Amino acid sequence: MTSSSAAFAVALRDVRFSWPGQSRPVLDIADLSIRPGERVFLSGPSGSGKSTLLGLIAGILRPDCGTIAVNGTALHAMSASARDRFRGAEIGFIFQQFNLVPYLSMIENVLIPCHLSPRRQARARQRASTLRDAAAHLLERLELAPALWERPVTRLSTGQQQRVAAARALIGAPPLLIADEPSSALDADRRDVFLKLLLNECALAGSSLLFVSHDVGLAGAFSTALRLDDLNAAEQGETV
Amino acid sequence: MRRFFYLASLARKSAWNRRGTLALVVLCIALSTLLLLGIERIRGQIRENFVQAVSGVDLVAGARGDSIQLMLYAVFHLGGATNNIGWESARRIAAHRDVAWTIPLSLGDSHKGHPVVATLPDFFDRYRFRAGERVEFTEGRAFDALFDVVIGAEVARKLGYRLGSPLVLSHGGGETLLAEHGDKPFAVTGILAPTGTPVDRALYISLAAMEAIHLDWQGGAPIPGFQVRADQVGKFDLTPKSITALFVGLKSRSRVFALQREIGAWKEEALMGVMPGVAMDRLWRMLDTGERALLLVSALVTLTGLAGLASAILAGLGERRRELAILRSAGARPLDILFLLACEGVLLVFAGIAAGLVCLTLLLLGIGPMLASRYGIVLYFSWPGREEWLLLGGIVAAGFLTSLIPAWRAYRISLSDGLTLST
Repeated sequence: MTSSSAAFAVALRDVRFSWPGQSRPVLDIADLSIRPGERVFLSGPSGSGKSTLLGLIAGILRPDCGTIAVNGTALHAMSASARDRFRGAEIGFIFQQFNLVPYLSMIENVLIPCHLSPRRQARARQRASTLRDAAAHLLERLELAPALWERPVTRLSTGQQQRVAAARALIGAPPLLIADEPSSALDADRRDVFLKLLLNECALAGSSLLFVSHDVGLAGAFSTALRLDDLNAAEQGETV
Repeated sequence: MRRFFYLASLARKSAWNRRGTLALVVLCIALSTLLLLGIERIRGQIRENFVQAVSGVDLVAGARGDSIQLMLYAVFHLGGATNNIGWESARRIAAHRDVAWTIPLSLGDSHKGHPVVATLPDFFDRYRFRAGERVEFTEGRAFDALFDVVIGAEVARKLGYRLGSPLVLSHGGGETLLAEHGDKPFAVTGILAPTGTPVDRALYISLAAMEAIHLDWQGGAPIPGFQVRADQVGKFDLTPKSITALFVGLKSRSRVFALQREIGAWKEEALMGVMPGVAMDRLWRMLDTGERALLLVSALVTLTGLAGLASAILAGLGERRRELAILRSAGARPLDILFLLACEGVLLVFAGIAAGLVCLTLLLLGIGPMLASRYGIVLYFSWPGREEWLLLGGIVAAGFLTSLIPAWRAYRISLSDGLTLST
């Protein structure tokens, strides 16, 4: 591991990725760096390989070549299960929608990462006496009333569901938060509220944020705005 | 370890969440369990009733021939009559130095399809079944007067006889009306408690009575022009000339082979001695194939139930891909997903088995007393025995293997989906 990559929350160098059985890479990124605490807005048209890139950073996928480091840890050199463990401990993830496990309560949904990662749990306990308290603090700050906490999550509005997802991503203060179009299912008002809350909490937790969206209008709230097309040297299928 | 407990609790909550769909699967497994264990238990009980229809008898002596046929006829009163043995031989066996007691049996007559057994009053004291249980009288006592008859529980129940009821015996199997011993009616003096053995279906008279009703018979028909009235029989010698079989009890069981050889080598008459346990086991093995087929069928029913389990979980996987991706994003490995799904399957199998055991227990407690009082089949409420634990273990093992099918599918899904939901 080089000292240069250790200074970054995310560092990709000369990364190439192609799907099995395909000769042409979908991603070819010479350099992508996110500094600790940086809030990065990443945009790109659908099919541009955004999800693939997130899969690589989250350690689900493995690059054909190149190096990927998250918080100074070289993911590309780790085994699949070590990457899974790393993701549980170091990365919070928010999906576009349907973020919640339907048979768990709101609190239980928030606590999933703590049960799957001892490190995440240990960090959550540093800030609150019990795990439940840790989840409760987050939910309160994300403006979810205690009356909702034990209710079936399937009855929540989309905006509420996304805030629960944010709480789950934030619990145990992972150094990196990845949000994959988290606000695209929300209307404009709710989207702004959600974004504000998310950015606040990231700042409080000291987490870097990689926010992927096609809604370029949101870019102003971030310290850095990147376009995947600018980063990715691979030829896209539709342009050939 | 804590991770596995967490995943197991997720499996439980997930299954509970879909309880409407999965209840049917659990019901299927419960019924399979009920069937499998119920059949095994009844099979065991029937085997016990059968093999131990007579116990405490060391040898059954009869005319030389097929040992199975002798047992079928002498103990179960089934099949064709064997040759008789002379009374003289029976007396000599009874007088043998190793012999503690003997009970002569004479068969051949019947009453409305039920076999009539002529024997000594000792029979009721000596006869043992299962683990040495005795024959009990629910009413009355052993035969005493010449035309007294003791009837088994099933005879009393079916034909509605009570103490004092008059009845007439038929000669042989009683196929024709002509062959009735209508001139010498009997009266019921005793009714036996249900035993679950052939005793329930039989009627018991004294050897002398058997002799008396055949005084004026020869070769299976009344002698024309010769009739002995019931009040005249006392003038005749009613000692039997021959009997069907002789139950023999020894002073010491270790002499059984010696006596068996001795009886087989008898010069005066062609005899044989059969050890009931050995013959019954041989007989049971011949009948057991049917029982095993039944067990096989219920095993197939269990497999059907488990196939239902696999397909129910598989069918639910499609809408759970989101859930699997969420768990993956929070650090779950594909192997965790495999464990989660396998756990869910095994949990359902256990729920099914538990429900099946509860049903079986309720059923045994519910119909057990009825079976015991009517048929003498005692189905104990007891913890599963070794065989039953093996069956239960088999269900769990098969359930686990079946659960691996949807679990493996989920594993593949979580590998290929990763964090995205390909639509």
